[in-house]
Amino acid sequence: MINPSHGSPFPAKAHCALIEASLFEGEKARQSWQDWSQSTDFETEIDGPAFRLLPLLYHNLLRLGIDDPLMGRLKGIYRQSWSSNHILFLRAGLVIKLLNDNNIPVLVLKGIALTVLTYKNYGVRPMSDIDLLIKKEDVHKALNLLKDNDFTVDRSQSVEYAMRYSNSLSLTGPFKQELDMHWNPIVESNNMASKHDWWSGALPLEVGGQATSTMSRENMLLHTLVHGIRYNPEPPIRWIPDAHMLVKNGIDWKLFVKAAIDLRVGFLVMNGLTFLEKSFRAHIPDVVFEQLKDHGYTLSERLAFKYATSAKSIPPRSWTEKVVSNYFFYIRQTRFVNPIMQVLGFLKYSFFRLRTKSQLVESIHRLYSQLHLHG
Amino acid sequence: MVRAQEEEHPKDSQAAVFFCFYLIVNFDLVAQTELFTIMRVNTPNVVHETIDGEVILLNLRTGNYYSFEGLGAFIWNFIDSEAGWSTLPSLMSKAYNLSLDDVHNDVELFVAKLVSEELVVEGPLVLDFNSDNITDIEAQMLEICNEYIPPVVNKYSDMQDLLLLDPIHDVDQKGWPQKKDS
Repeated sequence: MINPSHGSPFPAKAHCALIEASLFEGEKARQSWQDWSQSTDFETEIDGPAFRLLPLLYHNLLRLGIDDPLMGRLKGIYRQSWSSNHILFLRAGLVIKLLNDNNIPVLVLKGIALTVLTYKNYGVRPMSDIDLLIKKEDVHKALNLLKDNDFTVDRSQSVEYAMRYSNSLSLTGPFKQELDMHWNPIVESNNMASKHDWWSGALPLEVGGQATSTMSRENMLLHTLVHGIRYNPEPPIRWIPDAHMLVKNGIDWKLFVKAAIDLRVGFLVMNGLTFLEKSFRAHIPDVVFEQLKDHGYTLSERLAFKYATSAKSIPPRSWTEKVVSNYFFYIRQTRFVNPIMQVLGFLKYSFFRLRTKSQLVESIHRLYSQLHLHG
Repeated sequence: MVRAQEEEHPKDSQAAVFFCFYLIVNFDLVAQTELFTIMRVNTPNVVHETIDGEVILLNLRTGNYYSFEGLGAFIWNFIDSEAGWSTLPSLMSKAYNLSLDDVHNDVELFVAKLVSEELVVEGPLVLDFNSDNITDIEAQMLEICNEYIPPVVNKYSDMQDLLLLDPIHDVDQKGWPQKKDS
């Protein structure tokens, strides 16, 4: 049983009522709206995660014919989200065109894809950044192209480190538009190129007047679950309506289960789907749970899930917290079953991380390399 | 383009005949209109959606945001369906029992504003009238607005500033983009 704590991806009671009011039909939605609106002060108690659900809430309340004094401001939040999203789509279309014109294949991820193919509405899912997936071999070419077009890589990031141990780079473009350029949707698949192809079954869509593609629905659901289910000081509860809508639109469960097992994220996926089914009545066939259970889970999977969903300070403050945090980040993407290989790999990773994050360590490394060459 | 509300207009082979019949019967009403200046929505520069009877629009080229309610929303959706908007004044005049001159003037001002804001451009005429949907159109019009209120274009510039507006605390009860003090 999951016990939600603050920052948990599994929401507390108030957030649950808000999600139910935003997703459910009929009397259950009305009751949840009553519960939420009576227990939440609209002026002072709307946190970031709740705010991001308000356009979807408005859309559902309108559909249900709810009459309430808050409907005017909720409609305003919907209008703002609709306008902001259309502007973001226009900018995304320009980036996609730039990459397409230079023969760099692209898949759009997250909010843009969900808006067009899943929600089929430009107002209900607010977003602030453009998320794109490109092939790893195209990263340097794309980076140079984007830099030539007034995008900058955020200073805190090392491209060398990101290419080796991360799955994306954050850039800022004209009008301060944020762009997340991924070469893997999740770090868990960093060393799994031979096991899982995120480009397989890509679906066509149009963004800002540009023809492009996104991942298959099965890959989108997997991405939504793995990306969303982790602790964050701002509870990342949006994965719930996203996953709920994806399930509602139809999933090829055979493909989905195979991908979850291949990427060794079965334990996380099992927990996420169980929560969706029990708390939000998502229709998930029993066979999905049986197949995931039958396959079993590695210790790394269990530990990674436990760590990902437990409360912690972000960013880590003490040295111990930093080491633990880095260790779990490392095992999320390597999943070495052999413990000796895992420890050795982690030491190598830690040194590389220190090198790319600290100028002092980098200088010592360079000095050592030069001495080694000359000696 | 996603639209919350879309109207269907059957395009049967007799549509043109019915429309001509309508024009003959109502010749006195339609004679005063400048017929067949046909408009279409200026896509892809303009994106729009009808939500709870209100049309919201964004001109992506200029960055201006617009909204119409009541008869403005009705006329907009009429134009979006690629029907000849210029027949509307006569329908309105009849439905609200007003002089055609007054109604014609209001509608022309409204459409002229749409043109000057680059929200609509000239487009092809799709003859989709028949005697049934003329009755339907009148009924819809009266349902949306049971009394005649001239159509108005609400325009909001400075989108970058508007997007930074807190839609919970800085707005009035009608919600974003209507600021609290205005």
